Amino acid sequence: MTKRTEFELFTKLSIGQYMPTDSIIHRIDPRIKLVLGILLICAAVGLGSVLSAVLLLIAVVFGLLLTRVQLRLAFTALRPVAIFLIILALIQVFAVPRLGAEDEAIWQWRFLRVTHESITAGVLLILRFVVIVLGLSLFSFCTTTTELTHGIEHILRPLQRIGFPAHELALTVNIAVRFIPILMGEAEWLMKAQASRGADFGYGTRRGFFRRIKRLFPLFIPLFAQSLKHAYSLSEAMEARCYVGGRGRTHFIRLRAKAGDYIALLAGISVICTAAMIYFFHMDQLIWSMWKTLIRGGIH
Amino acid sequence: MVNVENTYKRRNTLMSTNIRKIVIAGVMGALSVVLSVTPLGFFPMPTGVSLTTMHIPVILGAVLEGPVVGVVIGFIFGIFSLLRAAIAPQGPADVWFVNPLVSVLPRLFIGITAWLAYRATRRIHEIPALIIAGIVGSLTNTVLVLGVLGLLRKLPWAGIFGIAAINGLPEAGLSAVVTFVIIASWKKIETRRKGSSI
Amino acid sequence: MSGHENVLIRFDGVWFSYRPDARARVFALQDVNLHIVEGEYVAVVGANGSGKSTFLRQMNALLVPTEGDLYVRGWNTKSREHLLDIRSTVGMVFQEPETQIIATVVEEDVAFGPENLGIPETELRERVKWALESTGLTEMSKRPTSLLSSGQKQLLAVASTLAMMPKCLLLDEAAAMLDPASKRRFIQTVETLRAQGMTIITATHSMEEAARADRVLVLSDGAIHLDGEADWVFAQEERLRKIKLDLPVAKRLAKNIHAFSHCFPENVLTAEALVETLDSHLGGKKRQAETSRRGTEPEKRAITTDMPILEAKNLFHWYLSGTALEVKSLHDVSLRVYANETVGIIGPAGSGKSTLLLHLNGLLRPAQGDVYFDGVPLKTASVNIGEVRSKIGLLFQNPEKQLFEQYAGDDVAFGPRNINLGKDEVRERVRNAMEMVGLPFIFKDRKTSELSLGEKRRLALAGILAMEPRVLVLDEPTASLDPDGRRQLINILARWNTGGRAIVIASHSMEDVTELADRTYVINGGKLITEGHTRDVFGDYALLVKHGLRLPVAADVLRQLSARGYAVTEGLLSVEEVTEEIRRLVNDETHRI
Repeated sequence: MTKRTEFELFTKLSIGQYMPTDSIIHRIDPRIKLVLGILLICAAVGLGSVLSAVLLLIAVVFGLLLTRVQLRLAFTALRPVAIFLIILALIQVFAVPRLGAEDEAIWQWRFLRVTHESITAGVLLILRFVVIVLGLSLFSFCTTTTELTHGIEHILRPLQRIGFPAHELALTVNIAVRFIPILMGEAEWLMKAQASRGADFGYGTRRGFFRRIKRLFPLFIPLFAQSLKHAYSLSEAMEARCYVGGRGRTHFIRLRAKAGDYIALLAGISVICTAAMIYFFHMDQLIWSMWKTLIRGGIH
Repeated sequence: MVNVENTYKRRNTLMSTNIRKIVIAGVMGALSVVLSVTPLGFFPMPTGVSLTTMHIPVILGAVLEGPVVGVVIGFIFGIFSLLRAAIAPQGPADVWFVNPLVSVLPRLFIGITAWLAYRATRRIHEIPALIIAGIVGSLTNTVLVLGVLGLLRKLPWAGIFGIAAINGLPEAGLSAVVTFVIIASWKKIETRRKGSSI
Repeated sequence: MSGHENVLIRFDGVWFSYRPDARARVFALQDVNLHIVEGEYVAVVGANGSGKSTFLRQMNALLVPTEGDLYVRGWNTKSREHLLDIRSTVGMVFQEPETQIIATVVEEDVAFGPENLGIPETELRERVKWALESTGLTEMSKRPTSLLSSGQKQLLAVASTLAMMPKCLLLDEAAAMLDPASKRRFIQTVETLRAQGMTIITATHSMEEAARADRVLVLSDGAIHLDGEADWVFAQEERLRKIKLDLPVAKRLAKNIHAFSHCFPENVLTAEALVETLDSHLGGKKRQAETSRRGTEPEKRAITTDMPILEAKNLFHWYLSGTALEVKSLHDVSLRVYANETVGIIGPAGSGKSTLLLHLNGLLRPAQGDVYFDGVPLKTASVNIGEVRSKIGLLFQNPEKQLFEQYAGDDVAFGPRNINLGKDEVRERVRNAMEMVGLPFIFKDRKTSELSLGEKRRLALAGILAMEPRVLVLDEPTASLDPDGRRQLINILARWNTGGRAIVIASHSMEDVTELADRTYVINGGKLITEGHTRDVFGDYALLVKHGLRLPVAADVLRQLSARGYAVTEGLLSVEEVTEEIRRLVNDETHRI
């Protein structure tokens, strides 16, 4: 089989595959997907309750099933990091000192101590990560970058009236997205061209820190110069097409939210609110103690 | 062809600074993403861990166009590291980077501090100003990211200081050199000699 | 150009300097006074650095005069008030396809311009539809812009500008980066627009393109050197030669024919017109088609039975192999290069030419097959790939991008330093390489950024030659060069190819290939279509057309004559040979009378 040389960079570019399976989720208004995505991340990160995290996980998996993309694909993203995940969780469980009230140690040995809190922290680490990975994979399967930038611009548009540069920001993101493949191409070109002149990017040899940095110059300097040249060309083109900022522009694309989109929004928000309530009302503590009494009651 | 360097910031043109800022922000953001996904972004060290270069476009953008542009590029850099950590995680760091407080928030400051450092020292001379901007920007990245990790109790503080020293300092050095060399070459600043070394 | 039609653009004593505040001002435009009337088709020609781009950018107010004034439809370009009016009246299409496209979807890019002008939404849709129709891109409306070919991207740029409903279109070498087929389509589209009343101002290096315009402006050092109808301008041969510009090939032929047949008109500018004129001049008396003779070459290089210096055997290559996007880019391609010869590789865009070149010095590894240098296969583990790369020098397309050192000499030294030569030897090599490309050694202390395009191109070539390769592989070496730059480069290559060296050149320029190559390979779709002596390959017109290629202009004239029934010798390629053949035809005709 082909032993690919180090120069074929484009293969690495596929971050988040868009899968055109045209499911219900695909058709949801991108603004709503964007809002739910952000809320999901905030909830996953902010709600320190195992039960909330589990609820979010269930919701995300349900969403994934709706996209008609193979569930397996979403989970394969987790494989490369599974080990690290476990190790870091173990660090949380055993080694990280807790601030605040000293909880009673369930187990202790020298500087390692396990408490209820630390176990929760470890489990949470894993759950949060999985929720966010699956959640963002879910969105990346069914939203194109174009839809995304439209979504961003539409959400921010009302702020344009108070002088917030909504369109400018959306345009910046758009330009960044457009330029990624262009600059990748330039990077690849430079690597090939300089290698043809005998350049050795041999990172392996350790011949002095600053000397090794010098080896980067034939790549970095022209790459940056090209980037700026492209930037200049693009700004000329934008000027020539009369761009004067977001104010007063009309819009070719208008996103219109339909009933189905609002239902999706409602569903998403209610899940997140439930998760929030579980956390704020310490419901898992409640359920845990209920469970303990049940067990004790059962045993007796 | 139009001589790009000469026309970049002139007065006898009606090209707006806003467009230039938008485009630089977008292009530097793209550059940061490209560095993240190619070997160019990783400078291996004998310690085994690589130094990263993807924060350098943030510094470059801030030095060329100001703090606002720096914040925007930092934002793009941060969001991309979050997305990457979430959608195609590869290493232990990605487990933490799914948290925007770790991946996005600290990166917003890189441009600001780099710009401030640059402006403050520019009166002395351009060359040290670029070097200092590179160092400050890089250290901001290191300190704030590790700081958030520490505050969120993801890592013990002992480990954090270790990483900061072993990785953060050389990374600052790398940033300083790259920032200086790139901007000096772009702005045609005389470095040391007055001719080739042949 | 009476004053009675609508004057669209008026230059009134315009001077422009990029550094107006410098003590010693250098003017990129000097004392320009002229008008452009609605509906005109103007070509702007001049060497690199003569000010064409600067001139064009005055007209849509990307630049404003340092002294003097410029009026578009009566609005002064310096006034900010009318900036948008001016820019929506005079639209501009730039040279680089990639960086003038703003949106990620075709129709959204077209909409960008009118959106900025605040055009109401129903009209927006109308305009987008119309602009896409005018450029033939309607089926592509919803496609991602990154998936378009270069030719399509340039057409999109035109559509996006059209959507602003301009009165005038400025084209800044807009077709320069396109392959011949896309170039033709682009020019056709532009000329259709022109027929509908659009004013066209096009800056170009191609004299053939310029010859199609009504009016030609010749710039030199920022000043208007010549300004008049195309016929008249191209008749000023002396003055054009002084500023190192060429004549269109058809015109050169016409002049040569006029020299031995004085009743033949001299002012013919295009190949089509030339053929028409010849047809009527020869009185339509077509001779019976004899068996066409092969041209005898003055010195036909015999194919040696020696081992080739460089050989590719049965190369197969896939991009993105193993993924859903896998593309077979080379399918069983073989190639041989012998000492002292130049091999040409031609093929339409996307045919695999560049991929093939990248295999020749080991940058890409074939999935199957191998490349042999002096008989040694490159895949062998013992081969020092670094050494191979210095023996087989590869000059990429637009190689100026690879220059990174602040001073020119250092950049040339980069290659030799990488192969660990001593300081003195490096110096020697740099000196030799620079002299070989016509750059004096003193240039070593010049700043790389201050060199002109032609000088940078030669500097990049010097960087490769300094490694003293035995085989030189070139990808589109004359792309974007002005006629003088091109001529210099061709001469350098011809001079270099001696003493056991060889050259491989892949190019869209049929003129380059027919001038330099002894043998030529034709590639399309990743497959080898044919190979042989250059004359034989170019003698098969049907094959060339089938693969989107064409003949060099002079040869095409003969082909057109042959299509009209005249008996012409096959395989003649250069202007001199074609002239001789036409002389033969004319004399034979006159003998018959």
